[in-house]
Amino acid sequence: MMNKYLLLLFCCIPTITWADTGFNELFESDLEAHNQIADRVAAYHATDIALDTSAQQTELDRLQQDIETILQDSPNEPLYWFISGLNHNNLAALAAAKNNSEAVNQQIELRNMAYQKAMLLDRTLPLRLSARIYATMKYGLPAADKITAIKNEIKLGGSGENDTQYIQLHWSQVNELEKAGRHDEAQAALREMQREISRLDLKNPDYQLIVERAQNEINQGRAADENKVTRITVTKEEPSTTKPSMLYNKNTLWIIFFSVLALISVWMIVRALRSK
Amino acid sequence: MPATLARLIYIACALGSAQLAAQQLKVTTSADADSNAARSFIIVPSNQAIPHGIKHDAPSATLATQIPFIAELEPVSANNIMVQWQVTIPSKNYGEIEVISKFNGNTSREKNIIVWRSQPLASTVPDRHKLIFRPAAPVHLPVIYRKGLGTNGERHKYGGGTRLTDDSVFNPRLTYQIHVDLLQDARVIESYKATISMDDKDLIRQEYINHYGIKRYGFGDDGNLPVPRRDELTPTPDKPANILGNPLTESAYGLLVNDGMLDLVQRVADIYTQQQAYYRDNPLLDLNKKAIPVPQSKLWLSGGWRNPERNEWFSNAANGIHQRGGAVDIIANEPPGDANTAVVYWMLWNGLQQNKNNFNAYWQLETRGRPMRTKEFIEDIEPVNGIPDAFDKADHLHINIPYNTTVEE
Repeated sequence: MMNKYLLLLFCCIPTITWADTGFNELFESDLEAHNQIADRVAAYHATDIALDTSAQQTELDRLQQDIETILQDSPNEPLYWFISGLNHNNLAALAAAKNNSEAVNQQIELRNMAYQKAMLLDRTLPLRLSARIYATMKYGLPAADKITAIKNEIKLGGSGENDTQYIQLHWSQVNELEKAGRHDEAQAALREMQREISRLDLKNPDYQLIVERAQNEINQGRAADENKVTRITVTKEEPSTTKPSMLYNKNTLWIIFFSVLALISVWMIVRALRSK
Repeated sequence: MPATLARLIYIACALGSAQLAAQQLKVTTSADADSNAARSFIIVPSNQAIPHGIKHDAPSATLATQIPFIAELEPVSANNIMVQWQVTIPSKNYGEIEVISKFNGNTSREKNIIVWRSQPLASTVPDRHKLIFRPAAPVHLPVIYRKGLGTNGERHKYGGGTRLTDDSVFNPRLTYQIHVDLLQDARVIESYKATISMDDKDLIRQEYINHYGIKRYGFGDDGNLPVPRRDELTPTPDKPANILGNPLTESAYGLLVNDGMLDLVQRVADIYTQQQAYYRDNPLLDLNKKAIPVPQSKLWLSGGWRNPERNEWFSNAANGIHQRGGAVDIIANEPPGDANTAVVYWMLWNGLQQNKNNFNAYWQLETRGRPMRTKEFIEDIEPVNGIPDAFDKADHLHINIPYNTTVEE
């Protein structure tokens, strides 16, 4: 009975709470279909949902089923994979609220797979996913995927509200590449950042402080890596003073034994065949 | 030379006062006394009652109704002197004028310039010493904020707005050149001219007028902001020394509405400096109980006052509060997404929360154009690092003085 009422309430909810959300608005992407599902997923992502956890679980599970159905029909649409990942993130947040760390990890893994799939399907220019989507996906992704998301966000011009946030986006690219040990790429990204500062005619000297910091990080990273390489090449094994004996090597003895056994077997088979 | 030929008179405008040099006309440009005194003007649509005064404590008022421009010579009484008026509009983007004086005239266009010229006016023409005309109201396009690339495909989210001043499409500095010749026997014997042009303050105010009622793309409130008074527009002050980054406005005007922004920035910077000092002595611990180093960098002032065209370029909030001059955005001077960044926002947020009983302001952490959910201050899933996601994902802190109306950033 209670479930019926919950279901009734749930059915009524869309007309009240769906009106105010906007997937298109939040992610600057125009969906051609499935707007209601996307809007609801976006609402969970961006607002405090006024439902108890049980009702939220029911709705999020249903949304995920709907999304899976959509993906079966349109498996190559990166936008739907993004929505799937976003909903897995919603499920992870709900699991965290319930203190279910195993479920959190599961949903995070599914989220990352969905986001990776979305990025994989969005490799040709012009990119179909928006800067806002890439800005959302990058949080919590493994390093390599995070870097890809940042690169794409830059290609799309960033999603910030002023030039400072755009330059900081470049800075984050430098930083993530450097943390991943990709020093040459980090250096190239820093040069790109400097070009953008110049192109936008940002005369504020504080931007040069950012450039200097980023350069220092790269220099320190390179120096740390060079120390590691030096330590490895200095360590040498002492040469052996005796030659190992082939005959008394354990492995060799087994090989000889089984070889003899095989030969004896073959001889017996041949002899049996001839006697017939 | 006839004695009755006009000696040039000084401006004695009933609505304002200004001393002008000789060889100029008496020109009344605006119902706004200060605009008129600066020989500047704004153009107010006749069908709208637009609030006047944008600061939070501005008295309730409405912009004065548009009055026509009046150019006036001392009357010429000689019967053999003809008067001929001319108005030059240097850009076709400004639109034509509506001449209210009962003169016959012709309009011609040459390349980008529009010229209206009267017939030579004999002494029998009533009020020939006075030219009255109304400027065409600028048309702001598009009528809604819309998404897309800029007009030249440049990087930004929306198809409207400009970061420039005096852009011919978005915020032209409307200018009219008024010229009057005195003719005798078909020869020009005297000429007088005046140029009336929007100054920077009125250019800004015209932006607010043009955006009043602009529709927002999607849901949200349309642009219905009051128009600043001239005295609410002041030169840009220096930001405090203990914060890096942008000035209180990145607008190219050199003017802004400062409705408490400077005090906000100072207070936030001071609170953060105190937090840095405190956590150096009382370190935060990570998940492994190791002390987290306190980032040494200062905060960065990211955004302050935005004129409406700039707001349209960078934001999707047609009634965005940054246009009111009482809001600032502050960011961590650390790479976004880095653990240091999260620590900065954490310290800043906690410092503000600790001071909320004696700091009359509203603040929120934002990520990608939205405020954080309440639970994001507790959740730790993206990534799992012991720091609530609100601080991992924050890309700026927004803070504003309290306003009575509901506005968006």
